[in-house]
Amino acid sequence: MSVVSEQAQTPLQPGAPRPPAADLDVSSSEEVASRGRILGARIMANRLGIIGIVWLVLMVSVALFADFFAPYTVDYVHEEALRAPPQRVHIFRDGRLTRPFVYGFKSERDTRTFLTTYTEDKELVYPIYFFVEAEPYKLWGLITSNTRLFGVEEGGMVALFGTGRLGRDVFSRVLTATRISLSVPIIGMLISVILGSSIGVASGYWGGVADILIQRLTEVLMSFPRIPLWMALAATLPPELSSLHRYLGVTIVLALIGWAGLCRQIRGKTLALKESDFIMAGRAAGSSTPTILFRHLIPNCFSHIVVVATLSIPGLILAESSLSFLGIGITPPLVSWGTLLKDAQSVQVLTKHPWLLAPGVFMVLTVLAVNFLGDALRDALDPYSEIR
Amino acid sequence: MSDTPILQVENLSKFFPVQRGLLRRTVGHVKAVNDVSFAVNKGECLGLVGESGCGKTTVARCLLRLVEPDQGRILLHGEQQTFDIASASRKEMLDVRRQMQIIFQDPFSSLDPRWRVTDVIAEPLMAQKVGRGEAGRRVLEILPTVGLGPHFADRFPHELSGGERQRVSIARALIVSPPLVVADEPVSALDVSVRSQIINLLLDLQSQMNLTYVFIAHDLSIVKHISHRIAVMYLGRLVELGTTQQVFEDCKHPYTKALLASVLIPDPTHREQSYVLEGEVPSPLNPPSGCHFSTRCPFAQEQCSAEEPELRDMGGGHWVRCHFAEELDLSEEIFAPQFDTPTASN
Ligand SMILES: Nc1ncnc2c1ncn2[C@@H]1O[C@H](COP(=O)(O)OP(=O)(O)OP(=O)(O)O)[C@@H](O)[C@H]1O
Ligand code: SF4
Ligand SMILES: [Mg+2]
Repeated sequence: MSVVSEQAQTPLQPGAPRPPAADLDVSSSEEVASRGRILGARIMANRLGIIGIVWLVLMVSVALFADFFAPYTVDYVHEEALRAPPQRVHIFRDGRLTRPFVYGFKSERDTRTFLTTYTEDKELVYPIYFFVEAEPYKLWGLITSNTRLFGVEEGGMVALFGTGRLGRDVFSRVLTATRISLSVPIIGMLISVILGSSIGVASGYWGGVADILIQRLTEVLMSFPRIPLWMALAATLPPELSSLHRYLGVTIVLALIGWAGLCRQIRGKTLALKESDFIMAGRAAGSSTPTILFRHLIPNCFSHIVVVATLSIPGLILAESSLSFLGIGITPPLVSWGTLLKDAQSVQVLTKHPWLLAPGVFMVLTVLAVNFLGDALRDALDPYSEIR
Repeated sequence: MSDTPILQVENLSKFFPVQRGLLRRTVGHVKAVNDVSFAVNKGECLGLVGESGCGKTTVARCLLRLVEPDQGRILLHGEQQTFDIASASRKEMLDVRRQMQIIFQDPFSSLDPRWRVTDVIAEPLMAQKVGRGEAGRRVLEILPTVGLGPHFADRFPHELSGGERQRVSIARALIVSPPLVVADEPVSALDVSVRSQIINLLLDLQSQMNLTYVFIAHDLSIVKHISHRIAVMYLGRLVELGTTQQVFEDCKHPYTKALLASVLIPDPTHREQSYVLEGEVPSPLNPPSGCHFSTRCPFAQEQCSAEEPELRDMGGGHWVRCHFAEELDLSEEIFAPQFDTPTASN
């Protein structure tokens, strides 16, 4: 082999000056925004996304501190006020600004329809106090406390969303139900994300017969109509289960059906990434399979996982509510929005007692909020979208 | 440069199955690399040239076992030991990766977008179980060698230009000081203005670190200045192999001649593939019978499509795969007149 030594002196473009290394870093002084900051800015630029986040933060705090926010326990009964309408909060009395208060009820029974109608009794004034001492509760089963955010004096009543068939405070019940109605979907989502992404990554990365089998299984799971499938699985939970076990059972049932969609998405992403140059480069560098999977592949799927997982929550909220509404989901003494809606089954409710639909309103708002957040995340993580 | 080989490739083949339909039935094979043999000597730069799709990247990936070769041996003569890469164990491969590294074609996709430059460059070190602190120190050491300042260490790839990314890619390949580097079209994805910088960097590094290169390119102009020997591929086959001088001054294969014709045109509007070879590149799924080049070769005879020529030694380490290698007179500008037609200069 010859022709070598003179080659080094023959640059590609003769005479082209080689810039010194220092000249190369043009962008060194520029402030470069980090990924997280860009992401935050993008989410914040999305108005619906913010609304969603605000509502969800509110709901999560309510769920965490339901006992504190709710003036009554779920089972507290106002014997004199069955299906009483929401009480209005007043701050003016005789034209003067006072501490907020509600009026008590004057009840009248219609002798023909046997329906009781309630009207405000201007004689009964129940001032609302904050941080009152009321029935004790155990926060998260750990801290015993009897302080509640607000309440009225013994003998009075405050029912901001009215009362139900048995005279229980709808407001307190809706707030308390938030715990179940949010935790079932969130825990179910986490289980299905763990299942779906690990099966999806493995299936996509190693391929082979297992991959084909897993894909057929997910197709079958996904082609079943959802509600009958949930019902069938939920019906297999033995009726004598305690309320808490049932809660866990329902969560697992939902997760076992929910992982399939995520699994397919993550598998597709894995297939695409597996052939990408940076994974090849990682293998050429000698990185082990765990490094390739956990440091290259999964982090690059992560934004995708987050979006898909977020957008799967509304379905789970509705699923839990449907099952509970049908009586095969959550059972008393635990309450969820679905079990509360059982009280609102008749047409009469819509005409006479619309306040019993409050749990439904919370459900719809929460589903919308999660969708807003999911869309905002998806837009923010899309590398091609502009900051608006 | 010496005559002792550091890498010997013997009868390397890689066929990709083509699957169709629901049951993924195999309907054929893309013969991406078909019975390719060559050797690379210590300290030299071997250029591997051919049109897009002829199997250059597949050769490179087989060399590093990023795809499993179907056939053949790849012997790497390491400092202490000779490895057959095609059948090496996982543990042996880790040793191989300390002695042979690769620079990828596309600097935009070959760096993990979520890794900082330090981590990218340190990846081969971490795989070799070098400690974090030591790895970080060596990254800072190598950055100036590839023309990057120390502040690049904390950047993410998306904050770098194409040229800077390719420097990172080069640093990653060189961090374990491998004697052999496979460069898969390291400049073809770059802006023309930075190409020569990167080429010069690679040349400097070669003399500084005593490197051996397998340098892949799809046109001869780049390889001319840096290669000692050149291998030309066409549809998965090696068609000519010789010293740079032999290939440029005395090429014996009509396909090489065609590639050279494209190089010699001074018109800058002529891009890589615009040399006028009649006809399309045939599909590698269904290569022409006999000599794969016969459908486009101006010298094709009956024998050419009937019988595939062997790769034959013309003397002086010059190998050619053509039935008529001895007889053909390629000194004339056989492909040149076609460039004068107006359609050619679009
Ligand atoms: N993983 C794969 N599966 C199936 N076919 C493949 C695969 N990789 C490459 N091929 C095929 O093998 C042939 C050779 O591809 P290769 O990437 O090696 O070409 P190349 O010479 O590097 O081209 P380029 O100059 O465009 O980079 C092509 O026809 C390509 O379609
Ligand atoms: S063998 Fe025939 S077709 Fe092939 S390159 Fe030689 S002359 Fe052309
Ligand atoms: Mg290639």
